[in-house]
This record gives sequence, structure tokens and C-alpha cells, in this order.
Amino acid sequence: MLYRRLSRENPDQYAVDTETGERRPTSSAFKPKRGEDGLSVYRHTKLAAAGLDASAVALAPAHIVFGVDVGDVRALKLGVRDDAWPAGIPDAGHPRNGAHALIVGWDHVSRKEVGRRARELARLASSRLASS
Amino acid sequence: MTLIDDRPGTVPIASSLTTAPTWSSPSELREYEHPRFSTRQAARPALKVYAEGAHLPQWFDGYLNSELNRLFALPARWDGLSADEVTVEAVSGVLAILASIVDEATQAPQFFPLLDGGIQAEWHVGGNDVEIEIDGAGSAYVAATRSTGETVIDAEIRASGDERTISQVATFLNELSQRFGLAHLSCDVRCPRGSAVLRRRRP
Repeated sequence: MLYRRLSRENPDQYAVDTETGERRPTSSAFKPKRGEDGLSVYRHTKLAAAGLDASAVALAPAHIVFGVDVGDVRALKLGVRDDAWPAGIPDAGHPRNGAHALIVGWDHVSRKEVGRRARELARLASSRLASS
Repeated sequence: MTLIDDRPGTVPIASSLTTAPTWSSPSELREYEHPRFSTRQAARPALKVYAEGAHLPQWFDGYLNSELNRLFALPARWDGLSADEVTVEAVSGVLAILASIVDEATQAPQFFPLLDGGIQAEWHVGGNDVEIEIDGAGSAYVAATRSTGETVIDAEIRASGDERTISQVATFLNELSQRFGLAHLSCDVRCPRGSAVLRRRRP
């Protein structure tokens, strides 16, 4: 399981279906930054090894953590690469950062395909709320 | 009609829109606080959207000003990692695209920031989705699907010189906006403007 941190305010990364009232993550929260290696996530197994759980991924009360299976990521022709202790991030020494990883495989992918994969990740993540 | 605001320090916007920064007091600082860290950075001057032209919805001025400035005010690394500030190019791109596809009846979109400084505008109505991604450089892409999974459109979009794509998106948004309007009425009434009978909302 991989955990991705989203926000409920500043910014609010929930999209609302105005007819059904359903709230779900926006696909924009699953699009990587262009020119960067991938999408930031945290591995459950490594968090657990450090005595942490999904709640450790949240940095603020407004954050919400979603889970995505590694198998689902690979089914989208994406991969997962460890990126432990990334430099230049807030609280870089926190134990959670030993579990940091990247969802990779976005290079040389068309904009259309990036959008499709991001929408699918958002759909998968919305069904697996890890913590709130 | 194209209106360019040539006041110093403003950003020219095409397609009947103009933006003009409204400068905050230099002493104002905006603090991005959270339990683990805080940064202080000077507040970015707010953008002001001036919409001109017929057939624009009522929300186009006030709602866009508040929403786009809300995103524009996000600090760098708003995601706690490496997110960029929303760019003026992205704001300009959003305005240009919206002006080309909306009309008086179009429902307001929801806006979200992108990590590269872009903005994504979204409509979700009964499982039907429209997403317009404007990247940090201002280029736009639209993906629209019906609740059945059928793709309506999945392509680059430009505010001008792209009438076919614009028309497809505008037509679908119009359909969704009408549906949205109907969905918010909870009793059987006859529409005062015509002969349509509105159905009770399904539980």
C-alpha cells in the first residue's frame, strides 16, 4: 500500500459532484510536476517498520491521507521507486521520510495518458481512505 | 472583443478579459502556518479579473476573482514538497478558455492548483465529468466523459482558432448545466419559461 497526502483546505483537493454530492479527490492531486521524477507517496511497509502508520503522512489537520495498492499502480503501467530521505523538504529528518517513494513512469507519456492515469489513481484512491 | 489593459505592471489578457494587479500594502506578509513548519513570504499582488462581453454567466466576475486569487495566493510548496506557485500564465489561460466556452447558463467550475503552477477547472454532474487542465505555461487540455464512460472529448484546447473543440465542450457543459439546474428542484413544477415538466429528484 502507498499513501498519498491531500489537503482539505488551502487548497481543498476534493472535487464535488454537484448532483450527487459525492466528494472525491481531484485528479489534479495525482498529476506529477513536470520535469520531476514522479508523484510523492509513502510506503506502508516502511512506515510500519518505523513504528508509524498512515496518520504520520499528514502534516496538518487539514491533510487527509489516501491509500493506493502497488498492484493498481503497476496496472496503470506506472512503477514505484524508493526515494527515502528526500532533500529540501520540510521536516526532512522525520522518520516518515524513510518511507518516501515516488510513483514513476510518467516520462515520455502523452498529456492525454497522464490525465487518464491521474484520473484512475484518483478513482482508486477515493475508495481507500487511509486516515482523516 | 479583445481588451488589453496597458497600465504599468498589469498582465495583458486577450479574449475580452483583462487583469490588473491590485497592490497589497508592502508591509503585509502572508504566513503559511502548519504544525511542522512555517515560512514567511511577501504576499503576491492580487489579480483582478475584468470580464467584458455578452453571454457570460453571473459568476464570471466575482466568483472567478475570489477563486483564482485564492489559488494565486498559495505559497510555493503548498503541498509540503515542491509545488510551484500558480502562474499568471495559468490564470490567463483559464480566463481565456472559460470565456470561450461558457454562457449565461453554465454552472461554475471548481478550481484546483497543479504542482507545476497550473490550474485545473472541473465540473462533475451526476457522474459526468469535464476537466480542463491549464499548465503553468498556460496551455490547455480538456477531458470530458459521460457517466456511462463514453469519452466526449480528450484533446488540447485553445481559446481561439479551435472552434470545433470549443463547440464540443460548450455543448456538453450546457447539457450538464441544464441538468444541474433541474437537479436542484425538488418538486414537480412546470417551468415558468416553457413547457418542460421537472421531475422529482431520485432519492
